[in-house]
Amino acid sequence: MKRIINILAIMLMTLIGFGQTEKQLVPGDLKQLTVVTEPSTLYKGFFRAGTALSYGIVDKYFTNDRKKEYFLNSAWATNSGFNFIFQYGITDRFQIEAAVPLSFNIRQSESRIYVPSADTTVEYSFTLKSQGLSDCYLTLKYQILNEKTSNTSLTGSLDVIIPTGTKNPTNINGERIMILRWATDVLLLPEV
Amino acid sequence: MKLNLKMVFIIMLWVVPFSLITGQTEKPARDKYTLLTMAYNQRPLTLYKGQLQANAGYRLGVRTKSFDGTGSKISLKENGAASVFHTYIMEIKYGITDFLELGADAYYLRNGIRSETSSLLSGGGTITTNSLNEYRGFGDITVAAAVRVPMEYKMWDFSLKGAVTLPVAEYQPSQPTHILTDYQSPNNYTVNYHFNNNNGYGVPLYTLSAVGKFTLSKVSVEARGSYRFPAKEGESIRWGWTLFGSTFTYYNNPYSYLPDRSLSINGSIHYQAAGWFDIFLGGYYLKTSSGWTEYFESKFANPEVTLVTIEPGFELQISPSLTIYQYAGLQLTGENTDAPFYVLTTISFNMFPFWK
Repeated sequence: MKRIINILAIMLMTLIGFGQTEKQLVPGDLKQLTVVTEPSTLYKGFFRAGTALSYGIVDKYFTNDRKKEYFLNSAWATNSGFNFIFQYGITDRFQIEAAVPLSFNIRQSESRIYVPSADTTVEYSFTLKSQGLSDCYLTLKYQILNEKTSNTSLTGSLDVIIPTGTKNPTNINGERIMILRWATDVLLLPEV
Repeated sequence: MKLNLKMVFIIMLWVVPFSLITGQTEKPARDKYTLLTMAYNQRPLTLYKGQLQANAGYRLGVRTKSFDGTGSKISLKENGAASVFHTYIMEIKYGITDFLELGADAYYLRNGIRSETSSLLSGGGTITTNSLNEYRGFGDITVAAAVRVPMEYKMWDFSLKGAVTLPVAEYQPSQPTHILTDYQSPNNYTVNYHFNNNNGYGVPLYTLSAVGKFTLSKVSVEARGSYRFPAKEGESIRWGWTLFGSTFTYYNNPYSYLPDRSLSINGSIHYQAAGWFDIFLGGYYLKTSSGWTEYFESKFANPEVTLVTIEPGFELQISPSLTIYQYAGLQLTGENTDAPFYVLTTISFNMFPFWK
């Protein structure tokens, strides 16, 4: 009886050993990973190039009462960006990333002032544009807690911003002022 | 004659086995997975029997240009009136049979249109005026039925659709919420006009549509024509106000109107790049007419609108139940209308709820 138990115990240990064999991931398997299934850093030797497009419009703001309201003044502002991103896995836990962003931003405001005593209207147009290469950045990511062993990962990252974008405003044109006669818009529609 | 009979017999011997082989072609499988993953170029114009489709869409529109009555482009940014609109679209459809589909859709729209800030400068002070026209709320619900030719889709398809837009949404403008800010004296303040509009039509609208689709291998062409017209005249209100000190008092006056009739023609060419990926380029033509609005007890014709838009986009199947559609709209030419650039993203959920 004791001998049988010993044999069974040895067999069970072998089974456990088989169960612990790690699945070998081939490059094809790595490419099949998704945002959900892949770890927080790329595998060693894995290279990824991507692009990202962003577009935002400034239309509302939060008041002091924490309410979201439209801007009252005539104003228009958009921020758009196009990023080229390159990532490389130095080890299974350590990743390096470089990003080259292009930005296109605009702030525009229009207003007019009517001066009855002079019977004139002064129109103000303010435009602030920024476009071209922004500051590039380099990111180092390291999995402090490795997802492979604990199913949970904790990743630390360090960003280094490289000042490749133009810093100071250039091409400043004077405030554009047009003096016009006041006119009232009249909508003429055909009567039916 | 004897020779001819012999020849006919030999030919028959050749032909009959081929016809047997041809007759053995397998009928396409009709399981849920196959139908749910059917590519655009193999799909009929209406849903399959028992198929339920729920669509949720979001359209981001950037209204920075418009076309005037002569077709010239106007920059709304330079006029201080550019705006952005957000439209949330909901649609549900069900295939009663392979040739009859019922559906309903509604939307929620939010848009705030500012006007150029203007100031009146006099010896006594400055009165600055800001104006905001806000459109917010649900649009009317449209219920529709579509029928297609009662045959299996292979190369071509044709469908007719009838729809009624029910005036269930708020349509009369709500009371304005004008406010004064920076009030220093009766001659020195800022007045902020805020008009609150709703998105309903106020009257029922009928729509008749015809759709054709033709597929040759991986390339498909689809064309759609729609005509929408109102059931009757409607009545709404216009808000007026008076300002005493820093307090606004509102009143309203009724007026009647007739929504425009509209004709729209869509055409699109599709390429089925893979079973799960279809890219397309669409074109859209819109013309409105015959509507009017009452001003000062007289009826004035609404400006007739024409608009030509191109719409590049794609359809991406991400699972048997889920498909994502996305397309952008770029206005080429038009008259008397805004020309907003927009991107519509729709996620479509499909299932056969009563099919085991």
